[in-house]
Amino acid sequence: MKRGVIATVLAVISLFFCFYTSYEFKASLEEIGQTSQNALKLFEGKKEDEFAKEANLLIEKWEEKKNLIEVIVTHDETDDIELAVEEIPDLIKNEDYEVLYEKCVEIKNNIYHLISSDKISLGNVF
Amino acid sequence: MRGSIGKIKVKGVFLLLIILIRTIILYLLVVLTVRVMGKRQIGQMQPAELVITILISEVAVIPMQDKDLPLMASVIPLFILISLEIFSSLISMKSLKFRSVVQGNSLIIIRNGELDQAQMKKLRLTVDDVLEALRKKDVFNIKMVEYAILETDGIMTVMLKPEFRPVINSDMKLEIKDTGFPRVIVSDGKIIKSDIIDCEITQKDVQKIIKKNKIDIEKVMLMTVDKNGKIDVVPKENKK
Repeated sequence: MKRGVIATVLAVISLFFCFYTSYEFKASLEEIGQTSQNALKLFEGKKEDEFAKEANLLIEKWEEKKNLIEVIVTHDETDDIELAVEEIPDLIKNEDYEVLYEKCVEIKNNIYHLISSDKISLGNVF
Repeated sequence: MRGSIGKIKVKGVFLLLIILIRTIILYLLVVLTVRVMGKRQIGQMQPAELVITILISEVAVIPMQDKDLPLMASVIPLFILISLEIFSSLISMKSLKFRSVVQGNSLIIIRNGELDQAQMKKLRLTVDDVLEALRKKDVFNIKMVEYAILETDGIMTVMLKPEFRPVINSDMKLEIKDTGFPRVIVSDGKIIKSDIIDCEITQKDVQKIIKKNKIDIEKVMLMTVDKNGKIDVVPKENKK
């Protein structure tokens, strides 16, 4: 009976963790992905000052959410995003918006790749 | 790659600390898992238990070595494996069919000194395998065996024909005094209270025995008492 309780508790913890983190993970990535997409639209609309502000917001959101994301996915998958985000402040300071745009594209692509690679699908399961 | 050379040095120290912390967490988790599973040894494990043990060792070791893999990728499978093992053993207790599927059934290999060749073929057992298992039971002739049963954990149980079984006390109609299981009362100069509770004597009785025999507990390596109150004392060796 005692072992039955232990098994149930562990199973509930595991299930809760799996569902909760999956939900939070998806929501966090979508938020960061949306911010990077907004930044790209601002650059394409030639609004460079707002583009820089949105890029700063992207850094804030990444810093806020990265701890949860790194608990769930392998760090190899987040390293490229982390490196791209670290370069943003210098690019804003130097007003190098072309390269900043490339970095935002890189972040957006990596974020959407993470979302697609962690979906429950036959391809991912097998 | 990031920052100055000084930063890289700091990163290296953290990497080792991370491995240290991860190792401690995983060690505690694996010990908990094995404790929950029970005290069987590898040779006595049922097929499902063996599978779980192999999986646990594999799951636990990967994030210990690979810092890039999240620890939760190991902790969650460990929790799920413990739960599955416990649920599986609980269902096995209730359902004979489930037990039969998960653990298999014991099968008779030798009947009245004759090998059951159909069973051996089914189990992919060679004659050499059977003879080796018999020799491990100190049986060198198949004709001495009444039944040999291959248990679900892979161990062969042997029942000898009556004429080859060793003589026991009841055959000789001997009356033997039951001494029970000798309990450890003093170990390495310390009274073991948990064993006294299990024993049919009380702590007061132990104190009386110690006083009566003028025993200095600190100089005792091992002291046991059986059901009849017989004491065995092993004194500590004198330090040179």
